[in-house]
Amino acid sequence: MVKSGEDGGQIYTIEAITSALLLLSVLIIVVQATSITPLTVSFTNEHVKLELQNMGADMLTSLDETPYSAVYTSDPAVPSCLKKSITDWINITGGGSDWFAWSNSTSKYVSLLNASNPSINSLPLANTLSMLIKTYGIAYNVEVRYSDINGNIYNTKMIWNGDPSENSVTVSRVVALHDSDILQDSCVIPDVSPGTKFYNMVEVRLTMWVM
Amino acid sequence: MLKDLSGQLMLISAFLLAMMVVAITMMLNNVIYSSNMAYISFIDQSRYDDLSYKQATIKEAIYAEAVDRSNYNAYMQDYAKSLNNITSMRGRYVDLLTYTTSSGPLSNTKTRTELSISGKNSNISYVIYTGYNSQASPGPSPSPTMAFNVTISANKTSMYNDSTDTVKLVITVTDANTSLPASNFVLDIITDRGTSPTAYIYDDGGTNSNPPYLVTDLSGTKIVYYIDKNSTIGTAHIHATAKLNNSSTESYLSNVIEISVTSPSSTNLCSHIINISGTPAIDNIPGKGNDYKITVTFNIGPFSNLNIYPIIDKTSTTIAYDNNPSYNNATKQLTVNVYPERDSNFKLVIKMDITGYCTVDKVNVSRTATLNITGDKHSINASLTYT
Repeated sequence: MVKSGEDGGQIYTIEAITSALLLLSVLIIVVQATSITPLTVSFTNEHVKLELQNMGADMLTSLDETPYSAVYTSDPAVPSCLKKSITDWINITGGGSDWFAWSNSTSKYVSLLNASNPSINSLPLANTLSMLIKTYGIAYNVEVRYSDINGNIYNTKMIWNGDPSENSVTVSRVVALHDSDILQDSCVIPDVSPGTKFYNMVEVRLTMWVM
Repeated sequence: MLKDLSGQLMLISAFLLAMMVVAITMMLNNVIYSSNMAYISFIDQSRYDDLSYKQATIKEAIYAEAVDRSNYNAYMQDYAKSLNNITSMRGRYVDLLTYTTSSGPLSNTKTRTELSISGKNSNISYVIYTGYNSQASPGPSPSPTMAFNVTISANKTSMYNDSTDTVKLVITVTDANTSLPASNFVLDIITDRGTSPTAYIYDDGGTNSNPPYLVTDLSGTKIVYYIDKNSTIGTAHIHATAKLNNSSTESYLSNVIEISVTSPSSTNLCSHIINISGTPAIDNIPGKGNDYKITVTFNIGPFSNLNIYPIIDKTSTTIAYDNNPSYNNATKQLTVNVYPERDSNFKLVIKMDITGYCTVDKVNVSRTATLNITGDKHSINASLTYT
């Protein structure tokens, strides 16, 4: 098609606008595009963390709702499996002053601070969690958080398998301790209610990450 | 100057079309992507924490009631404080409000615990009922503001002091504020007639005679039968106390009822006795097969419900008699028709059990009278003896 000369200005203008749009698009794409790193937030990564959270929360809930008894009982004095794990750990370590780590051997859990302390292999919590590391390759730490009578918050380690990665997740469950649960004279967890049979509230914190 | 710009125009058009396709694709992609994106609520794990707090509170309320009931309020306050120390690190605040109640559809005394978990964008409340439905697991002591009304009533005001006579006692416990029945209250019925079981016993229906404790049912009521065995006659003053449970130190008093206790063997059982006329009336002259009509009259006096139950003992076959003796209610007369058949002697004995209720002394009395009729075709004798 042959155009007369007076149409050339319009075409140049459209061409200029199109060129500008192209340059702008390239600039936007370049600025928006980033490299994918292990720390990049993606839906897949969030999904994995969500699965970890659900798994950990379900395990703690299940342990906390299961009475530590050979037969079913509704006796409120019978502790749950989770509580039994905490109180046994307190009582066999002289008041909850020892950490344990997974040794990936027949010894299973070994003490990190005092080798003369009995192992926590038989505790329901330790037993259940060992399945995670053996079957799924998921590492975990267990910490116990509590407060003193003045409201100050403390954290103590129970199972420690190293510093968690940036993609770790933490779930928790609260457990009430009673005077009759604590057999040690010196316990890192103090009695916040001396006038009653209530002892203290602890938060069992389970941190998990994919190795 | 002429230029052929058609190629340039087509190229620009192609660029514009390509850009439009890219833009539309991205727009559609965003629409589809956002529709299938996981919202933050899907991965919100705070519900696990809230449920954990709720479950722990339930367990502690049950434990405190069962093990540390006397310090229940202090126990739960310290629990809530300790729990808050932990939850505050997560931006959660837990509030507990506990009090006992005896009202509600189940009418059981129990503890109502209101648990509120407040967060930045949420406020969840749970109402937890704990308590006891039986004597085995009693609840905590009531707060001083609670009050209950206890009433006791009897079905009569006098009785015999033997095991055959009972007085029905109805004890009712209600909430003073709501008038709703209060069940599972432990009752103690107190009388000044001596020591149980020598002087008296309570029978709650035969299955649990003289029980160690009495408990109100779901209607807040307990029915027992009082049996007085004290040999001394007099007046029994009876009242009841109600407690929330066996170990409770706070009890609620009822009104006092009076029951006159008399002895069935006493001559002073009733100042009025059933008066029977001494001589039966014979209204016909014997002879030639005429019948005799013998009437015995009873004075009603102060008695009500006077009943006569004649039992005829025919000891001779020489007579015929009306074996349906009648008596009218106005005069309480017993009439017997005798029909001598031959010259031989005849004998008829009619035993009468007479019972009545003395409206003056408010006791049941009874007498036994015997009507002896002898004679032959020419004569007849009738005599009345009674005890």
